[in-house]
Amino acid sequence: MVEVKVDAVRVNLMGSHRVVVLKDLDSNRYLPIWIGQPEADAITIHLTGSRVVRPLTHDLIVNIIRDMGAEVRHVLVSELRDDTFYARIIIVNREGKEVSIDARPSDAVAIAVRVSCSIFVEDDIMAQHGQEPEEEGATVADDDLGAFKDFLGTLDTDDLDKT
Amino acid sequence: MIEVKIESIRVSLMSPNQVVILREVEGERRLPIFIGKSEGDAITFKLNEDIAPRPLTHDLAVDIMAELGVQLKHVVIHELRRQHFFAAIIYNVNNVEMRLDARPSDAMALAVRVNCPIYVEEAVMDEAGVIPSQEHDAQRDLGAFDDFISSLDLGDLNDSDQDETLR
Repeated sequence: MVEVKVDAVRVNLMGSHRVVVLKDLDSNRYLPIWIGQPEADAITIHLTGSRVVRPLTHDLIVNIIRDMGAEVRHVLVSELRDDTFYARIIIVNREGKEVSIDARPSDAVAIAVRVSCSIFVEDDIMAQHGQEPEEEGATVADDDLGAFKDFLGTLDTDDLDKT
Repeated sequence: MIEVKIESIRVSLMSPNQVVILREVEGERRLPIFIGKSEGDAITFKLNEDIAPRPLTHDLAVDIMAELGVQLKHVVIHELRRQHFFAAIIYNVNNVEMRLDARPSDAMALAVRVNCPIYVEEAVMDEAGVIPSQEHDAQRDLGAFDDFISSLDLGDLNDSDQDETLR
């Protein structure tokens, strides 16, 4: 298992879906997961410290767990099957027994940020689907500018002084 | 406490919110409560007996309660303050009754999943309950139309000057 943190929640301007980006704490790998808008809101509202007048659904879940004398130990993005990520929420109940509950990653993350517990991703998921961004500050290779150069070559700059 | 059932969930064309209409089990009064879209969807989804491929947030809440031995007894909408309804979920743990603050939408979304009763405090129903007007009070519904008809001067219909101006 690799530990991750929520790096960003991104908005797709063309649709109602959001992307939560999880960053590997020990490397430069990022795992993007598509999630629904209400769940994305549930994560961002808490992370941005927005105060809500009434408990949201994930607040209610956390309150139930606390009221039961139980504790969320961690959450885990455990599996990727048919293009769907699966997660588990690991809770230690009042008697100290560990229970593992099936959840969507979005709900698991929304709960994790509320109880400040660790978020893990299974190694093979991060290995196969983690993405490394391009080096920051890297110079743009000449090849990448090819199309732009071709375009510049087609311009007849002599025209500029006419009229 | 008055037991209610969810009679309908309506969408508003003017806002993203939805309205849940609760109806007294033993009476005629309805209590309309505005809720958010995602909570409205969570209730409708379950009432339509749709099956989600993955647990929705309220399904997760129910799964967690089951794993922790929480038995939901009922939910109650107990207060109306500054145009906000307040609810609570009441559950049993080892025969001890516990109570947690919740929004009415979450309380109802949980109630429909575990089939527990939904209650409204008398004071809330007294203040915000409405009795729908009789649906077949045709005479009254047509009142404005009647008034309009009688205001028309049908003698004008054959007046040629009038025809001229209309042309």
